[in-house]
Amino acid sequence: MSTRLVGLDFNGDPYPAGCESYRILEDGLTWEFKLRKELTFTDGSPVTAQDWEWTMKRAMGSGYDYAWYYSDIKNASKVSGGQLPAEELGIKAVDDFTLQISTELPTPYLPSVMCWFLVMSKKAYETAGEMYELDPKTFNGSGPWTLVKLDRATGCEWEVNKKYKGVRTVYFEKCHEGPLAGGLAAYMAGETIFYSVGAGTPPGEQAFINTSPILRAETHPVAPYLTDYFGFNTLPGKFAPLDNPDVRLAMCKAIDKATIVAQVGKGFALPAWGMLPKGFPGNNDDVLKELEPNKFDPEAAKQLLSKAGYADGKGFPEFEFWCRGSVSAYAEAVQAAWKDNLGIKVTLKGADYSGFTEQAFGQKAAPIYWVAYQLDYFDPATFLNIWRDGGRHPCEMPEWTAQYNAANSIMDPVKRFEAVKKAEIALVDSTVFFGMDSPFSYTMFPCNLAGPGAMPNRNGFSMGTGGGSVIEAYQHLHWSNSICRDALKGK
Amino acid sequence: MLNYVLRRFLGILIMLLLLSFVTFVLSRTVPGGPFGKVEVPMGKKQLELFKAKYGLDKPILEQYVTWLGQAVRLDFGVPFTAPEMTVTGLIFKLLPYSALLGFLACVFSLTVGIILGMIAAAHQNSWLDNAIVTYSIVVGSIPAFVLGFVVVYVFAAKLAILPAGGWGGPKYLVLPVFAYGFPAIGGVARWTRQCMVDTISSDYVRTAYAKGLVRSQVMSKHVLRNALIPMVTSFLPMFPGMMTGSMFIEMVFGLPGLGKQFVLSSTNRDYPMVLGITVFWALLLSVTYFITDILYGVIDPRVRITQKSS
Amino acid sequence: MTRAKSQRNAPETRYASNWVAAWRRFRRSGLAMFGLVYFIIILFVAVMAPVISPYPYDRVDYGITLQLPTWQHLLGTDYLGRDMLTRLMWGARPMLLVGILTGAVGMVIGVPLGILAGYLGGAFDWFIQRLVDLFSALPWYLLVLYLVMVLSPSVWNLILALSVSSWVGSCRLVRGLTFSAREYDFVEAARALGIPTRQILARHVLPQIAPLLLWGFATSIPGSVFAEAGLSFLGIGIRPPIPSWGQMLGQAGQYWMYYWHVFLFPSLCIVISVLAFQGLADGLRQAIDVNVNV
Repeated sequence: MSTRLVGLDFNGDPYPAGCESYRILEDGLTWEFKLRKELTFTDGSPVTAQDWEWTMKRAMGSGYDYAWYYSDIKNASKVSGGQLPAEELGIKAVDDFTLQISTELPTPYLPSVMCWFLVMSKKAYETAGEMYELDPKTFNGSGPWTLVKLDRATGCEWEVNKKYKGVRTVYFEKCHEGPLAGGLAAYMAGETIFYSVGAGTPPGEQAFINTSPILRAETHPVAPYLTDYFGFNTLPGKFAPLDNPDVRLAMCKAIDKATIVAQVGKGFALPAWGMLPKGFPGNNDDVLKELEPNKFDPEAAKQLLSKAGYADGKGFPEFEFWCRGSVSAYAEAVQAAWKDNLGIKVTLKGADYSGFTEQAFGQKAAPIYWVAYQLDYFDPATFLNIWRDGGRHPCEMPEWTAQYNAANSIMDPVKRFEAVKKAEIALVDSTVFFGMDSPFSYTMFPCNLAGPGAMPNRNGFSMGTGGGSVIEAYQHLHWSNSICRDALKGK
Repeated sequence: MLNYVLRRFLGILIMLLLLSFVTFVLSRTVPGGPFGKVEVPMGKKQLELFKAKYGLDKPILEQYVTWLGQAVRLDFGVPFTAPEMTVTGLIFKLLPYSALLGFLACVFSLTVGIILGMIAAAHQNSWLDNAIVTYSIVVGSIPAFVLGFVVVYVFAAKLAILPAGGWGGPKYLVLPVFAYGFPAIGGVARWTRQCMVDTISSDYVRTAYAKGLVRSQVMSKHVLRNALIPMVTSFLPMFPGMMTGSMFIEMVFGLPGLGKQFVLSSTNRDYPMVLGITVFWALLLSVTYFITDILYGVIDPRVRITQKSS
Repeated sequence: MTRAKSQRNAPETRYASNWVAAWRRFRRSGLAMFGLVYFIIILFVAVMAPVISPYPYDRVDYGITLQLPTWQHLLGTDYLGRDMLTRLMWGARPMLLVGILTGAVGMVIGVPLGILAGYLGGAFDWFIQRLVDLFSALPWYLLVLYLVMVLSPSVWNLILALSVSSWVGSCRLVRGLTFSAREYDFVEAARALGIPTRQILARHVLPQIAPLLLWGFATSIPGSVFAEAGLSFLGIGIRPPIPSWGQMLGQAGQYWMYYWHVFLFPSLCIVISVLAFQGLADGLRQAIDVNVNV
């Protein structure tokens, strides 16, 4: 309930939220944000550039667990890694209402990155301490809502901030979050105002929704914003023969992606041919799906494997296949495909989120791993940045990293997208990973819910209800006096 | 007696000390850390900085000694995931939900179970007895979470007369209490029956019959009163037992209790909270056993002699 | 109490050996007989699973996912089109293995400790008591989380994880039994005669409590089946390659409301197994004809 420096609109495009405008300076590395002078904290003091600067520096300098997300900012990795003091971070307040952020490399998508940058009140922090935002008495936010009650058992209550003068329009007067019953029944009874229909929705329920004209009208498509994939630990010698590209290609070609996704996804998932989901800016499915790793061909896979010295999987080590969270049905399908088509056996291991991050990625202890990645903003960089060296995955690709960084830094959008597409092709061809699926869903909200958030965007998706949790829900919605739901309640 | 109380008390303290140490080491050596759902692992240096923020950079023994030093002053620290509260504060905030759920489920299963057990005992070896014993075993064979699914399906999804989960008033407790208490009925009924049958076949009951007392008199005056001792001592610990064991039910029904919090705290690696709940549960259980034993000694003086050596 | 009972049953044991009498008492209970028959059948199924199951347990068939029971697939298929009947048959293996071995490991650790604690008493007993308290208070969820992360997924590690706490029950039971056995006249007599402790324990105490151990063992099996199902339900099961019933139930999660068969059959298997082993244990207890106050 704080102000973001940059917001994302319903199309996923960045717009100035905490600032009036932003522009890039001549050096091509520095972004200047002109802040909104009318924005205040709830205590009445203005939101200044110093607050923004202090917020970022404090976080990055004190072991911030999400610091990787801002690694494009100048000296970010060194500051978060403790090699440089926080003062060296590439963010500075030029005057009270001008903020400059400089980057390591030209970063055309920087404004979008800043959609997660929320300002804290330096004054409140210094007077009321680190926890000022968690106590209604000391709460000092800058967003359209203020905290009224915080209860760890039953949830929080928020009220409209009457002093808010920002660009966001808010219709709801009060907001309560807390444990709610799920299910279509609760939605129909009006207990919850959103219901998601996806692969997990029982077909009986889907059929029921289809037979009710009201419920059907309340169903709106949501864009896929997540890619499920598995990757190999390709570090030389660590888990031989996974460091052999031929072996990995064989393991990719043994998987009938289209069939598996159709069956396991139950019509609520698209095959992922690369990292960027379908409908996402820069998506290159038509080219990617023709690449060798994406072509299902068990015979060719067998030959590749025997060429590598493991005919019929003989002598192939039995690797652990780590899954983040619990074991996914897709991972089971992959396990079966490798056994049937190549004679390779793997053991599935479900590891909880925190342990997985440390073991599989931090310690690089997982030979094969199953994870998902979800967008943070609407630019190819959100999905591809994580493949740069020194990031998340247990693989080393200096050449690819250089190619991608060069492509990503091109300021001309058309040329940049072309170059980034080439980088994604190279990534898929390297077989360090294998994209499996991008699930999508339909969201339902009551027909008497109105406002810009309820309208479809330029791609036909309703984003006001979350849109991959990036776009702020609630604020763009209000209740209309429509009686369209009365018939439903009578049921 | 005083000697016995002191020894038991000392035993509880030592158990808590051991328990807190083992849990402390175990929880902090599980791979992972309190860094939430982070997509990219932190670098070595950054991780050190991060750990220093939570006091996790020191050797584990030193951390434990620090914790212990605060714990003896009843300060169990601050939960990582709710920094505006204390561990004790959060435990007592969530306890009412688990306590209410456990208490009601206990009352439910005890009421039904004792009645069934008494009927079975009164008609020992009849078809009714067999039916009740069989029924109680069948009931006890259903995992609570399976039953949870079924009642949600029937009462919330199909009939839509009760909420499927969440919290918002008494009606949200009906299904969880039923799903939690129902499988426990079996054990209660069988133990009640056992206690009654044992008493019925004891010498003084036979004497009572010999004195010419009628059945109903014997049952109420002699049997029930004497069967009560083993029943009370077994059923009393059920209350804290069920208050601390509702993890599955709280997960299925999304109740904001301690069991669910424990699972969340474990997956979030909220070490102070994990430790706090563990110690609190152990304390609750051991104090109840302690009270039960004392009570047992008060009701039945014979026990004190044998208990002495334990 | 043990003595009082066996005296009362003296007339019955006069004309038959103890074992025959025990069998007669066992046979009286329908549930116990059901348990025995079930145990034999399930043991057969588990051992013969590769021969009698209609399909390989990991054969996927995307053409027939989540199919309701048909003549080809008597219990239907799961979300990858695998035959449910086959998987349930194979699932008997981990169930029995985990149930029996967890009980056995618990006995191997718990019985000696319990006997020694009960017989020696004093400081040793006090120490064991604290250990029992500690392990019964230790949060198994945390323990399993730890083992899941540290160990690789296999049946053996699952057994290891469950055994960490399974010995507590048998230790407590045995300690209590030894405690009362110590007061028996013949044990006191043996002690008075100066027979070494080791011999008293092996010759006099152990035979007294042995039948009850059998009972304790049988009751521990449903406990393990429950525990395994619960772990899989929470999604942190140590996942062996052979499907376990708990695992199948856990995965039924999102499908079960409309594809009832993926939920019903594994549930039934668990419920019936727990029922059968409980019946078996009860029958054993009746056969031994003693009360157990634990």
